Amino acid sequence: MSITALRRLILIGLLLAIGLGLSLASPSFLKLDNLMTLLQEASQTGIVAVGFTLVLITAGIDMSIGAVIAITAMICANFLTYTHIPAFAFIPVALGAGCLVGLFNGFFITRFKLPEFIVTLASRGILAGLALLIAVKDADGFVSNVFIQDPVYLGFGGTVGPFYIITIVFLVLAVLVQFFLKRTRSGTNIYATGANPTAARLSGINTDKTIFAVYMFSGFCASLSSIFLSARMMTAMPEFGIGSEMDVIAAVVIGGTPFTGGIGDIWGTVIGTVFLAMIKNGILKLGISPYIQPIVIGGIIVVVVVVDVWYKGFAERLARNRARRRTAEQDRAAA
Amino acid sequence: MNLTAAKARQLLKDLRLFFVLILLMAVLSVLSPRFLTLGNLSNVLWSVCIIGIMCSGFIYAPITGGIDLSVGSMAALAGIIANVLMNQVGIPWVPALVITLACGMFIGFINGIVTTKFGVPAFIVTMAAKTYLFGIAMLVSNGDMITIMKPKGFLAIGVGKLFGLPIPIYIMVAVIVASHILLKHTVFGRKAIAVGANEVAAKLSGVDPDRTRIMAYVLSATAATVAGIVMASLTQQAYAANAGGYELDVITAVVVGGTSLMGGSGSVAGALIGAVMVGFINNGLNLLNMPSSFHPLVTGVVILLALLLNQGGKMPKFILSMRKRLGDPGK
Repeated sequence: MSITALRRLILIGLLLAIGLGLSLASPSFLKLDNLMTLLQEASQTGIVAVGFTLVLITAGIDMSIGAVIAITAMICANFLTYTHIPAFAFIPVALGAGCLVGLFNGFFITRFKLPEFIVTLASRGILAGLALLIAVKDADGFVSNVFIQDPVYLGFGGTVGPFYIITIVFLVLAVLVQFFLKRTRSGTNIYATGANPTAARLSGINTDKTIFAVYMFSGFCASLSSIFLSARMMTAMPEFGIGSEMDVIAAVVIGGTPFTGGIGDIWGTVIGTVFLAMIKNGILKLGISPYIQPIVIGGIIVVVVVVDVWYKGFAERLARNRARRRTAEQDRAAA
Repeated sequence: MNLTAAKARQLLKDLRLFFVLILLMAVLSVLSPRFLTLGNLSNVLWSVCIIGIMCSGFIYAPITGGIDLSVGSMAALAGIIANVLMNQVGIPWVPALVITLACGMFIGFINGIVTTKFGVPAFIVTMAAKTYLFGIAMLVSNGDMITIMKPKGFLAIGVGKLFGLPIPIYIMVAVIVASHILLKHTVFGRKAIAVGANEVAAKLSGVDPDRTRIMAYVLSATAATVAGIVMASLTQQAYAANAGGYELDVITAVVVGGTSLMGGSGSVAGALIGAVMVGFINNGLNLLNMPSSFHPLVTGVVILLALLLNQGGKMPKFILSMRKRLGDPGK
């Protein structure tokens, strides 16, 4: 069994163990309602995490995703408040805004060779400011709450059978992107760009184009999740999504995509998002102070990364020992 | 001869920043008559003190090729820890502040260890630290804004005066000068620059890159703790939500001051001028009645612009020609 497969099995085992513990500790945990809400929360992070995983595979990082969520919500709020344009007409515009942010990030990263995190951190600041700037204001200039009444728009927060629509969209997106990553040439280009950009460029891959594409997709995913978020909350606030990049990073890291690039897949990210959502749900169900949530999320990132490095070293040592034993046996058999 | 020429160039670069600063002041004083009043300038001074103190330590993270995004949360947590130690545990203020500093150093040490020994990108480690430190601050303070009324000695740090000047100014000048000397005139400073410029070469010449980097994060967290103590004493309050946004201000100050985020070069004096500039920009936005949303927007734009002007390599023609006209100190 490969190292990654074993890691994933351990993760699923942990997930089930935590689930079992929570269902014993809190009787309402295993209710269908709660499980569906949990999956819906997971999908909210998950859709963003799918795009983020691609960025991470190219060895980049996108800190602007939270602010993209905010700006998308504000764009939709403006359309809903001041115009009568139907939802299906302006939602593509909102999604396009996310892509545009990716374009901006990609431009500064590829053209000027600036570090990814500082470019996306700067665009995060710019977008968070813009979101407040274009927020719907009342007569005194204070940000006012938008109550969304458009039935088509609110439909995005709805359910099909027991499942929320966002959960279905997330799973479809995950399957499509996983297929794209593993079975298409463009997917292979993403891995190659992250593993060794120079080698990728020398073998004829347009790495700049790949980087543009992943940042645009990341922005698109953040915008998409923002529309579901505001539809479910029935309101849009300029604070939406700010700080949520830590949740996404935590989910992806739990899923086993490293920061070094060239490795990772979507299944890990799916498990990671469910894992994170379950922990957050557990904190809520057990009635622990909500202030502990950032400690847990920040802590998880550090602990998982440290354990991963240790685990990788351990597995490599194990493999080396096994190989040595095998050669010794072969020598003995030969003699 | 070469050395003096290089020194002259560096001086020119710092002075160029100074001219931009004076230009900014001129523009602001034309735009708002309130800008050049004593009351307003002292307001700017407070925020410059906080950012300057943070920069003095923070700068070592980018110099060694890393970054520390946890400085804001660290500062907020420092105020809360100090308050708990002094007013709930009841320790006298001097040992309480020493313990607070030790806590800061410890957190910087953890940041350094995780970054170096486990090969995790610095911005991830410190961003995670920012998140959990904020959580700890919220948990300890219960999310409240705590007003600090005593002890007197502690409050004197922020509001006291010495020879007619506020004490935070002395603290800022002291740490900035110490940081400058540490960077330019000690072995550690040389090592930090060497590690940031070329880790392999530094390692081959006998520098331990990991140890240097860990030290850089300890310095950064310590400076943030000092800034947090000064801030708590100055505002007489400790509040977890004070944390947000300072890291962006500090990065702006350092980048505007000509420090490369790729590692290997940095200027403490430049960072100080950068801090003053950030203070002026923030103050100017307030005076011009800009909504608070303009604050992160302008900061983000300034960071990108400063990086573009610092950066060599692939450049569009208009920036290259602009650099030529401004006089490129790199050539």
